[in-house]
Amino acid sequence: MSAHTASRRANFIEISWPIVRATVFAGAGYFAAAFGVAAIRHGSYMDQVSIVFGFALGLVGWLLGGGALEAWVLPWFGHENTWNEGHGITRFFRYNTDHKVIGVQYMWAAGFAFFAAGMIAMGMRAELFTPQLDFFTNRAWYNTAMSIHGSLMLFSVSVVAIVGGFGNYFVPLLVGADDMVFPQVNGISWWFVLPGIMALLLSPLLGGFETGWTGYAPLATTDEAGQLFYYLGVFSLGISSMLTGVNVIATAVYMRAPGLTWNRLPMFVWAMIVTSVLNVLWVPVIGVDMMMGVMDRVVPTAFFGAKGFPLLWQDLFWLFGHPEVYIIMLTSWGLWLEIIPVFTRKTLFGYRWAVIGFVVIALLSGTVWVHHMFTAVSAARLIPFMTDTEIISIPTGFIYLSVLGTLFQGRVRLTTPMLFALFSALNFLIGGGTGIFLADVPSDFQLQDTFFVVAHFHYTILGGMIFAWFAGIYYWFPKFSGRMYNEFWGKFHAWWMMVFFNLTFFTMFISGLNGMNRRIATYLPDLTRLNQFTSINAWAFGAGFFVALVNLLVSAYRGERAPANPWGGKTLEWATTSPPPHENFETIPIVRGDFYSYGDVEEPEMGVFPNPSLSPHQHTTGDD
Amino acid sequence: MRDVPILAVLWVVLSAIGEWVIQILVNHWPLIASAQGEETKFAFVFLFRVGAVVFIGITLIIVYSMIRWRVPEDDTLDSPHQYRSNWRFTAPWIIVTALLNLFFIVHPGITGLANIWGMAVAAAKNPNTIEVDVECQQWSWHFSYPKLGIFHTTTLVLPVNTPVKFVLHSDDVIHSFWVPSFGIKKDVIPGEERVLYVTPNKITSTKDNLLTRVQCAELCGSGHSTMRAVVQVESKSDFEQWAKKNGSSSLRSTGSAKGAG
Repeated sequence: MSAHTASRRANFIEISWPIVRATVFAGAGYFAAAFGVAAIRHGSYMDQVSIVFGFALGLVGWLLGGGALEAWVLPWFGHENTWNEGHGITRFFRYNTDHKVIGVQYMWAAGFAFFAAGMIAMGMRAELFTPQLDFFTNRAWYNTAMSIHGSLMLFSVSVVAIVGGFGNYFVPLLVGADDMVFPQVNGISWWFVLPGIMALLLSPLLGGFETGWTGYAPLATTDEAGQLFYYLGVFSLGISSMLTGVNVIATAVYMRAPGLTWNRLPMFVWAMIVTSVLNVLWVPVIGVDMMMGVMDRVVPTAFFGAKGFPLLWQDLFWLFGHPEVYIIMLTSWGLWLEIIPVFTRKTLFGYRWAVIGFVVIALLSGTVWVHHMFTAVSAARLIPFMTDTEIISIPTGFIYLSVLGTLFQGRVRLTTPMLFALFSALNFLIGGGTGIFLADVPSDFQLQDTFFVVAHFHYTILGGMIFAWFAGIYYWFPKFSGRMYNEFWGKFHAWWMMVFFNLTFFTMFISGLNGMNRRIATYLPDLTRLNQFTSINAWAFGAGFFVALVNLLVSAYRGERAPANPWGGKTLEWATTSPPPHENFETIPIVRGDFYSYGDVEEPEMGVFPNPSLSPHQHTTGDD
Repeated sequence: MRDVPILAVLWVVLSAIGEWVIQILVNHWPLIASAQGEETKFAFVFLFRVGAVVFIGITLIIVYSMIRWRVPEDDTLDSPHQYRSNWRFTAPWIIVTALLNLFFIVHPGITGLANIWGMAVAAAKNPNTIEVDVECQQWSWHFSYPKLGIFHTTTLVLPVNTPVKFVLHSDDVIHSFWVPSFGIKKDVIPGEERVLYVTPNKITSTKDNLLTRVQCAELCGSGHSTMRAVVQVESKSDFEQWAKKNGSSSLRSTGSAKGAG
């Protein structure tokens, strides 16, 4: 799977020992702290205070075991950095500072979480197949399953897969750099992801948690202790997002190749910069929120309880939670705008409008959060937040402006990545469009907390972001695996997903309008037909992912060797070999033209950072 | 360059079909049985009608491009039409989206709220307004009519065409008071008192239509999905009879929450 695959194959022990050592260190740290605290407090190692300290020291143990001991800690005390970053497949399972390896690490972690959360969703659809309770033991376990599904999908898939995976892998390549600015920080940042995923997955050991991914207090305050793993897991995932955010911003600002002016910056890099700014600004808010939640349970303070301010939790949560929607979607839009010009062989339409769209969305994203709370807040907050929320669709429209203008009169090649990008655009149109119904306070009074909302955010996140993720996976698969995927099964997957996605989730709009509220294990019999239709299609939809899994795994080992530039793309990642060498480019590339110009279109005028523009498309290695 | 007129014609035709479908859907809309619900439904249907035209337009361009300009996948030619911008497309796009948004904020957003608030103000002044105290707890509903001397019932009985003032309380966690067919809901925050005015305008009951039920709409724990109560909207005379019959005694239960399930 890599240019550096050594001639000999790595054996299982070589691959797994850093993860095993990290797990052992994590367990040792966990129990040392938990028993230590229990001894000092004359309490139990299973009480909440012990668990919190156990998690903290367990996290430290996990980081050390993964490689931070040799690569970070011992060098502080004057030792040499003796850490072996591995070769071939072993690199993906140990501390590594190569941004390409870290990108793959993020992707497999997100893929693992996606699989786990997806299987939980299949179980939820089994429960909802009939009105009564029959799949889960009791309603509390359904709620826990639903909560884990939501938390994993939101905190460890949708904000990790593209931002952490493609962001790490492709931002340095797209700006012509040999690595991120802070490779050591980058190496450690991924190690915060798995503890977050595992905390959420293992929360049933502590009784689970029933609050959904939103963790509303005071329910969270009185809930089972599994809630602690929700707070701590989300906090851990947040650290990873912040570290990546800092790195991406620094890389995009300081590591751009000569000639890569802001006017030429690839759309995906723009999207990653804006996303990273949002991450650095807003993730600390949710971190504080999570810590206050922990304190409410273990100190116990009374921030959010019935005696405190229950709405404060919602305010802090959504103050992060709405920008999070844009953290999820901006990079998906960036991917559309990377892919569509390549497969229409047509100049990107309205580059600056799209960039303005990204930036204005980011500016507005922190001013709309109360639309999640319209039925809970006082009347004075309704109109301002309705106004902001509806206005945000104007800059979002700029991205569609760019998509439509580029598609129009193009030479459209419907390859798998192109299909996924266009399907993502079509699905997000429904997701965004139904957002208008929820932004409008009067209609939201009826729709809030119904399946209409569930359908709406699945259309944006699953239909928008996950489709875009697959667009990116197929688009860049030749680059990061060095091999081509099977086009027939790729397209089959795209159409399968599109058809069953829409059948599954469009029905949820109808159930919502027919009075089906969210987060329920049982419902009234009038909704049975709709739910059975949804469930059957959901299972078919879920099964479709195995097609992709088999196609990608088989192709990664048996596929045709990929050329450097299979699609005729013009961005810099296509100017190096597939897969790229460790240092990315043999020599640092010099950018002499615009990445999105085709045919005889004029070069755009240079803005405030002029650069001697020699001949356009000089770096193109494609077959145009 | 016939594409633009073809698209325009297709857009008009498909939008007309879309509006026709929406009209059919509106004719078969789930039951709405309150004046406030009529407002929220009006807002939804209005946005649906206008939004459908926009949605059909954008979807049409994407799907049309996929069919009209499709070339084999091994094609390597650049498109003969190359441009970075086109003000004849960009300017109307930006002006229309901006105006449409501002329009939506005012109508049905602010106008709808003004109507709902207007009904609340009128109901607060109306001496006939019935006051119902709603106690939400994990996981049941209790209704009291303090002015009628009826306390702690588990069935919500209301007269038709009379404004009702719901005073909402919770002692444990956040709940949300929602009767789907009333078309409006209100979250109940522990430690705070929330008020919701509803004017039921159709005679209906849980027995006739399951949308007429009290349903907790905010996740409140393991009993959340079954936190329901039976609703009966009756004629004024039936309601008065019911009130007379139950008014004297307190803590008398007139139904069972389980009846809804």
